[in-house]
Order: sequence, then structure tokens, then C-alpha cells
Amino acid sequence: MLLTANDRSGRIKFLLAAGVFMAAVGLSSCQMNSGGGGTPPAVASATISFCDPQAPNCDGQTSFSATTTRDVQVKVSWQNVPVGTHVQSLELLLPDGNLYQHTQTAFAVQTELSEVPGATQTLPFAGTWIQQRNLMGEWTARVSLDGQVITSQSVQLNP
Amino acid sequence: MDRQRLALAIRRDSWCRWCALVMALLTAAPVIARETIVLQKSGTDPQARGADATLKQASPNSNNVGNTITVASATGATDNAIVEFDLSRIPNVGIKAATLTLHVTTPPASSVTYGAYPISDFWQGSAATWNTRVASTTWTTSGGDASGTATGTASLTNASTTAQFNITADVQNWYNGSPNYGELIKDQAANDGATTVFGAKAASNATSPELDVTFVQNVTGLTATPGNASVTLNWNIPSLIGTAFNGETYTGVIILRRTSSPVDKTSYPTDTQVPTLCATVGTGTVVFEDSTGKTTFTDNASDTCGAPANGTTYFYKVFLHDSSNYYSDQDISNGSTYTEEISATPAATVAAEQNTQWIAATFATDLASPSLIPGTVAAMGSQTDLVFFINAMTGLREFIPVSLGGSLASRSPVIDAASSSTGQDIDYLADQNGLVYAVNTDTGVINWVVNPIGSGTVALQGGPAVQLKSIATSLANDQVFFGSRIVSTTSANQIFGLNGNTGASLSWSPLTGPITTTNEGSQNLDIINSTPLVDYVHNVVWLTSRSNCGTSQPSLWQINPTTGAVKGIANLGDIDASPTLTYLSDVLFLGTVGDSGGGTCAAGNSTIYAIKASTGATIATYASTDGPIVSYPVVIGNSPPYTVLFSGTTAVHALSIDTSQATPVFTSVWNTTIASPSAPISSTGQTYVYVGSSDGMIHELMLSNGTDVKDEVCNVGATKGTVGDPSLDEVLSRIYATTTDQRAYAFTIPF
Repeated sequence: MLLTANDRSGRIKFLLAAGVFMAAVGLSSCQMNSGGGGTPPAVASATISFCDPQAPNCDGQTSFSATTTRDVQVKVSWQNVPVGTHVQSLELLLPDGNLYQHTQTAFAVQTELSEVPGATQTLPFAGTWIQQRNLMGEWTARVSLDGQVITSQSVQLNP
Repeated sequence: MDRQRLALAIRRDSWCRWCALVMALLTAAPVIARETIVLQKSGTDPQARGADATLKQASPNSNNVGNTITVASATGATDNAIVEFDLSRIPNVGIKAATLTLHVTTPPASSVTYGAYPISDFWQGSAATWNTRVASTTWTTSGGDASGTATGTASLTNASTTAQFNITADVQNWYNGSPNYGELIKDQAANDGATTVFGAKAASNATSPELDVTFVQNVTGLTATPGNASVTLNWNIPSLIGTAFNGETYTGVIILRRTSSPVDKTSYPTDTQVPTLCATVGTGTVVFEDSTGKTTFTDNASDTCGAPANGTTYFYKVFLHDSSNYYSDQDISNGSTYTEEISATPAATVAAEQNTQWIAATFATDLASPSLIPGTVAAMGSQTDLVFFINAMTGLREFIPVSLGGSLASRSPVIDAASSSTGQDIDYLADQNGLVYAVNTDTGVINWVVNPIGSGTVALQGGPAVQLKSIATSLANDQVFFGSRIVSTTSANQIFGLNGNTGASLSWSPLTGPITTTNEGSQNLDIINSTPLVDYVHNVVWLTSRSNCGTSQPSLWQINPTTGAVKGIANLGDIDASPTLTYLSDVLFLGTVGDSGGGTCAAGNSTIYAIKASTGATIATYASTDGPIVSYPVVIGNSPPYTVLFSGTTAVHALSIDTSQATPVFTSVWNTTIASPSAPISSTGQTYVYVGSSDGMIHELMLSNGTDVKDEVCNVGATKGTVGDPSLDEVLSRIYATTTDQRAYAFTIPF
């Protein structure tokens, strides 16, 4: 005996319903396991800042002169990162969107703190292609945690 | 059984099978692709770039490499295993699946689950310990730096003979711009008391770590020939590297085309699906598809997707596929640049036609001139901790890029085996995290890597210079020289000299500022951004440095490479450019940053210097009004008068100087405006000068008068990149340049 169209349709509906039910059970199970009915864990986030280490008060700078600055430090500060070992990836994008530099750095979170420092990456200016080839404009720093993009921040490079 | 019951049983059986099929589809996507290969140390696969070690918490400073690796979890006695594979046998492929298999030699006493994590830092098997990863450089986290999330896990029991980890995502990333530092294997539970011993690479038998890879190769021999309103592509379908899957064959290609810029890396066909002709796939248009094994395509007026127009540059990306339509790309979110591409510009006249000889992905910006063994290999760095070795003829990677511990920001000299005291083709590299390497360009094996300051990190911006024993015959081995870029000091930078065969420091190395000079007391040493220059005639190494934005401390240094004695200095003001010697080594040319002075030290207009190499005395100067010099000057002529070429901010300049005169004088010969030019390149006997530009092209200028006679397009479209310093390959009559669009391009010269 062959399956009729109605049979197939009904079973597909049943399967889908079963799938939805299983997914719902699974999700609620996960929620119960992970949250225990309490507040769900906060989502990891990051703040990126730029600093000319030779400037007297450098934090929070949003633009730099490529002809006078020797280096810029790109600082990443992490919030709500779970305890354990993590990998921070930092991509520095040129004004045209092309990738200038990509670095990855491991860091460890030993205890549950609301904020932990990530890795600081130095971006050389003096004597580099940035200065010699006038790679000026609005650059973007984009940071990822364990392969997931978390945030980005722009910075202006001027002649 | 009556017919009704039989029918019910069949229906129930079919229903269950159908359920199983649906569940299988829901839980695991099938992997069907063209070839599979097993990478495992054996008599036929040396796994020369492979490595493994056990990191032992109980003996945190001991290196543990042997016939086994161990994973254990116990208080104070945890063992993590690190494993890296040599993927050289499959350099030009799209990865579809990868499984890491560790073979158990001593199973765990009870059930345990292990995870495979991508390692995030460079390490050396012969040096790695629980605390350190290379030389005396420590892991950020003792026990190995790796992602917080396991890519794959494996559960073992006392009866297990293998641990298998699905690490497809990691291997795909290694083929798409992430450094390959291998995998860290560790227990998922802390202090559970479990211990498992696995075979290691050194065992060199069936217990050695194994990586099973499923992949689709790229086409080979891809060429583009422009014509009048047409472009003809030719390619070869490669022979098998591994084992065919299910007897499938490579059946054809689909080709994406884009105007003015290469097809974006996130534009690729989806496995098992065949896009329709003329469909848009990301930034590309499907202009050709075939499943009959064709190896040529002429894009012309018959192209229903739009015929090529004369004067427009077309970029083609060619995806080989198998009979199940799995393509030579990596179907991942950050795209796949490891797919062959080529470009051509049709024109009504042959003289106006253009075409690349090859295009190769470099994954990040690199503007240094590629290093060469002419006619054989072009080496280029990347600011994503990789160095690429490209077959100069075909443009294919010789092997997958070598992963380093830091970014490369300079040209790295390649020495051919006949000239090198190592007897190998060697590339010397210095990275921005302070490691220095000797890499075999035929295999990608790192012969040695050292941290020249022992512990800690010193930034290295300029490349190394090599003094060859084959020329300086009194040397025991080749010697390697470079300087530091420690921006926190304007006085205490360092100059290093290493044995080129071993990486061992020369007896005098390092020189640390303030440096005692032979005749001029103690002198501060500011940062070094340039590559030194070996002067065989006078047996000195010339170095240029910054000088704290002034002329009160030296910026030109003359070092005896044997003793480290500083034979001479000159206070010329900040210098970032490398110096250049004449063919006779009688005159040294260099250009300063040209500080503007005043309260703020800002780069200004270069002064070009001619220095008498025998004395270090300045014999002529030329005040440029075009900003700082780019990279280095180029000298044309085997004897005076010389032509000196250099680039400033807006133009390429040619000067003439007759250094045979008692009082030589620089004379401007020509200036040609080029948008943000690279360093020029030419050589004695050439008719043309070549220069890259921020307009996305390489310009061909007449050496005699600077006329811009023809340009070749690298990328002038939406993702237009700045073109870096070119290199000339006079064996193949080609020019190579890298760009900010994360690619390297090769063209035939003259254009």
C-alpha cells in the first residue's frame, strides 16, 4: 500500500510539530539547566580605546596625526567574559574596508569580574606604510572573542 | 501474515526509515566531496612542518617530545597535548571536512571527554613547555593558549582505540587567513584523574596523529588572454592528490566575473547548488558554467551576461567542482580567497591590452616589495602573521603559508641555495613581536627561530640584511643583521647580529644604545624602521635610524660586522628609509624623514644624501619638497654619473649626480606626478621605471624622461587598493607587487 498525499502531509505536519515540541522541550531544559530560574548570564561585551603612549593623557583619543605620532596603542577592555581562557582577535581595517592587520591574543579570566583588560595591540605609525603611503582617513578596529565579532570602533588618522 | 498486516508492517518500516533519514538530515549534513587524504607521519609523508608535544604541569619547564603525547587531568599534574600538522601536500584546495584522530596507546581507566581547541600563539615543538611556547617566551596562560571553546570533542572509554575530533572549522580558517598553530587537546573536566596516552609524530607509525581531510582542488595554470572586446581564459583540471570520493570526478568549473575589482572573498557558489548563468553571486556574475570538463572559455560578444568592453578590466574567479557540485572554496562566513582568480583588460589594439600573469591572496595588507629567487619563488609577508611563498611562474602557493609569531612589515631577504651557507633556499624574517626566523622556501620548514633578546619582546619593523659567506669568504657562515624599534626610548635601541645557519647571536650582539663608537664617544640609538645594508667592499653594515627628531644624535651607523665596532656615524636627522649602494660600492644614497622641526616633531621634506662609502662623508645633498622619501632610493648606472630615483608624497623623482667630480651636485632630471607612489624599481639596462600607486595601478615610466607610458591595473574598482613597492623578476621578465586589497599581482614587463 502506497502512502497517499494526505498521509505524507499529515506525517510531515506531525514531524514538524514533534520537532517544534522537542526544540521547545530542549530549549526550556537548557534554560532550566543554565539559569536555574535566576538571572541569565550577562552577554560578553568589549570597549575599544586608542592611545598615543607618548601623549601625556592619552586615553580616549579619537584622532591622531600620522606624521607626528610614533605608535598608537589599541586597548580592549572586556566586560562579562566567562571565567576561562579566551582568544581576542583584533582586526584593523583601512578606510576602504580592506584589512590592514589582524592579530589574535589569548587572555585568561581567573575570577568572575565585571570588567577585565584584554590585550593591547601596538600599531606602529612612524616609518611605516601608514605614514609613507598616506593611509589616512577613518580606520576601524573590530574585536572578536573566540571567533565571534563583539564590537568595533572607528578612529581618525590625519596627515 | 495477511496482506493488511504486511502492508502495515511495510508502512511502519518505511515510516521508521523515513524518520531515520529525516533525523539524520537534521543532525548531520552529509559531506560529499571529491578527494580525501590522510596526513600522518610515515615513510612517504615526513610531516616536516608537523609537531607535537606534551605540556606537563608537574614539570612546567621541561620540553616533552617523544613517541607519545599525554592528556591528563589531576591536581597539579595536568597534561595537555599540542599537535600541529604539515598541510603542504594540499596547498591549493578548498576544505570540506577535517577530522583529527589520535591513536590510543594507553586508554583511560574510565570514561572521559577531551576537547580540541585551536591554539592561538606560535610555538615550537622542540621548545614548548607548560610555561613557555618558543625560546623563553611564555604562554599567556600556562598550559597553552587556545580558544575558550572546543572546536570538537571526543569521548573515550577504557576500550577506546582512537579519539576523533571534528576540526573542520579550524582547518578551513587556516586556509583562509588564520595562522595554523595546531590544536590543544585537553580534558573537559578539571582534576578528574583520567590519563590517556596517544601515539606521537615521532613514533612514525600507525599510532602517529592523523588528520583526514576532504577537499576540492583549485584549477591550475589559469591564464587570461585579452583580445578585442574579448577575454579568453584557460585552465587545467588538476590530477588527484588524494583518493577520489565515490569515484566522483572533477567535472567542470563555474566562473564569476566582476568589473574593475576582484570578486569579493565572500562571493562563492553554495556547495551542491548550481547557480544559473548570469546570476549574481555576491559581487560576481556567473558568466560560465560547465560540467563537461572544458578547460577554456572565451568571454566575448556572445556572452549573454554582458560582453566585455574594451578598456575595462575584468576579474574572473574560477571555481572547480566535482560531479556533486562541491566547489573549490570554503563555504564559511568570512569567505574564501583561496580560489584561483585572474584579470584582463580587452582593447582594440594589442598595445593597449593588459592581463595579470597571476593573482594570489595574502589575507592582509602588505606593501613591502616581494622577495625573490628570480624565476622560482616570490615571498611576501602579511600582517596576519603569515608568510607566503608563491611559485613565480604559476602564482600557486608552493605550500600553505608559514605561520609566524607576529606580523611582517618589511621585505625579507631570500637567499638561493647556491649562495647560502645553509645550502638551502632560505628566507630570513623578523616580525613585529620580536622573533627572527630562517625558513626553507622549498618546504616551509622553520630551520630556526630565536628571540634575540632572550626573554621579553622587542619590536622589529625593518627587515634583516644578510652578509653572505659566498661573497665574504672569510666568514664561517652567513650573518644576519637587524635593528630594534623600541618606541619607549630614543637612546637605547639595539642592533643585532646572528649566525645565519643557527640563529645564535654573534659575539658582539646586541649593541645597545648608548653605543660606544670608535672615534665619537657614546651615542644614543633611536628606533630603527629600515633594513640594514651590507657593504662587502668596505666590510661594514650600514644602518639608518631615527634620531630623536633632530641632528643631535646619529641616524647613520657604520658597523663592523665581525667585531660590532661602530666605525662611523653621521647626524643627518631622522631616517626611516633604507640606504642604497652603487654597484661599485663607492657611494651610498639615502633620504631623511625631513623633520619639520619646531615644537612638534612632524615628518617633512626629505633631504637626499650622497655619502662617500669609504669615509662616511657627505659629498652632496638634495632638498626635496615632496615629503618624506618612500622606502629607499634606487641607483641606476654601473659607474658615474648615476641616476638616483626616489618617491615622495606626490611624485617619482629622478636625480643625476656625477660622483667622479671633485664637488658632485645633484641635478633634477624629471619628476612625474603619481598618486601616493610606492618606491620606484628599475635596474641598469632597463628602459622603464615601475611604481605602484594609491590609484590601484602600477605605472610604467620612461627612465629617460619620466613619461608615464602605460599602466597595469591591479584593482581600480570598489575595493581599490594602494599598490606596494614592486619587485622585478628579470628571469621571467615580470613585476610583482602586493596591495592593500590583500592580494599579490604579477604582470609581464615591459607593459
